[in-house]
Formats: sequence, C-alpha cells, structure tokens
Amino acid sequence: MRFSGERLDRYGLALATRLDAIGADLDAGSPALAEADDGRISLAISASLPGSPSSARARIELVEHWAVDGSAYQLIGYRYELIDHENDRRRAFHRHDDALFIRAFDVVVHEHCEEPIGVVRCAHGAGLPKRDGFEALNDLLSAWSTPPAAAICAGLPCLD
Amino acid sequence: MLQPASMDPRVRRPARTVLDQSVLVVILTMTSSPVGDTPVSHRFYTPTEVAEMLKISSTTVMKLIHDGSLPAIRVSERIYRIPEAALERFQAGERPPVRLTRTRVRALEPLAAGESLPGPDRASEPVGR
Repeated sequence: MRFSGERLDRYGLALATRLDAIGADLDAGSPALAEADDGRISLAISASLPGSPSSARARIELVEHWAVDGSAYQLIGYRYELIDHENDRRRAFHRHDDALFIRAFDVVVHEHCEEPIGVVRCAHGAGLPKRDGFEALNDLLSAWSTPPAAAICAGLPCLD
Repeated sequence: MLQPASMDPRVRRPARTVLDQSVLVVILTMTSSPVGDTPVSHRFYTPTEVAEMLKISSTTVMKLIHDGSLPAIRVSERIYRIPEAALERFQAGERPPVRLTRTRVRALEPLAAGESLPGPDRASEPVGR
C-alpha cells in the first residue's frame, strides 16, 4: 500500500471514524500520527469497544508503520490487536521483523490468538496479509462479535 | 484393535466434557444477559432486526450498510451484524469529527513490543516495550 502524505492523513481519519461510528470510544489523542527523525511514520489508533460499564471492555489497537518511498509513503509493518477482556480472548494480525520471519518460517505476516488471554497454543499463527486497516478492523470486530461460547482460535494453523 | 471411544486413550475427555461445555455455555450466556439495572450494551442486531426497529425494509438496511451510512460488521460473505452502540450513534445523527494528533519522535516504537520473536539470535526473548 502506497499513499501520499495527504492520503495517509485521510486514511487514518477514516479508519478512526469507522471505529467511532461502530460505537467505540477513541482514546484521548487517537488517532495519532507520529513522525520519526528518519522520516518513518507511525499511525496509531486505539479505542474501547462498546460493552458493559461494570467490566473491563474490549480494546482495539491499530498501529501501522510507513516508510518514505520517493514522494509517498509505503506501508512496511502493522500490529492490529483485539484484546477482549469481556470474553477473555485476544486476536491479532502482525507484520513486523520481515527478515526474521522469512528466515524462520518463510512468511512475512503472522497472527496471534489467545483464548483465554495468556493461554498460547502457538507463539505465532499462520495468516494472510491484511489488505489495509479496514480489512483488519473488520476481522477483529468479527472476532469480537463471535458469541462467547464459540471458539475463535481453533482453526489457526501454527507456524512454530 | 479398535476400542470403544470411551476407552480409547486418543479420545480426550469423553462424555463428561459434553456436560461441562453445556454448563459453560449456560454460564457464559447468563453473563452476557442484562444483569439487574445494568444492561450489557455489547449486543448485536441482524439487518432484519434493525429493519423492524427502524420500520424500514431489510433492503433499505442493506443499502445503508453498503453505502457506509449504517456501520456494520461483516461476519462472512453475506452476514452482517450491527452493534447496538453503532445503531444508537446512527440514530443520534452527526458525530463530532475525529481529529488527527500529530507528534514528532526520535524513533518509532517497535511493532513487536512484548512479543517473542523466532530465530536463533532472539528466540523467546521478548522485545522491550
């Protein structure tokens, strides 16, 4: 994915607006665009999903890293996370440390699934790259909307 | 030689597991139901239910979902769910615009914070947050 700076701004705002519209409460300062000294950019969006006021709510965190590529920015990594405290499960889609994962598993992306939170069947699960933050967000929300009694981790193939 | 399922050591936790799971389902269902005066707002509607509540057709609901007016979660190819809170915001109308916060940092936080990475050099060593 390759965006101009202006389009990256619009994309970040649209992603956060989608979370807001779904009923989530965005954290203060979110969405945030941080520019590092080397020119790379981090887009970070975090929010609490709707839930019971009496218990810890489910959390969504979307973080993307973008690198300068000529006059535009190229997506070079991501961390999309659902920590569902209410249903005690975690689902995540990651792309980072490309060289390490290619060497170890011949893949660029991996996934995580914990059910209950902290119980890890495999350290890294196999998955397909997410097209963009919208696809990842929908997949996380789909996991969040899965009834509590249904397992969400069972079908995840292990890389390790 | 074949053994009955209840004696086969490869079959983990036979009949009793079924009972345990059904009890678990009941408990989880109870915790997801309204408790006292504190209703759980973590509920999802089908497009048909939303159509009934808004007194419009299911086709109109699907049009609203597809044009992005009514936020919905695409659970599978043709199945959508609308969170109760999303419907409330849809009915309430316009929301304050979301604003982007800009900062400058020396270096970006690693995406792998707290995760064990593969490989001989860094196996099982969580990256510092």
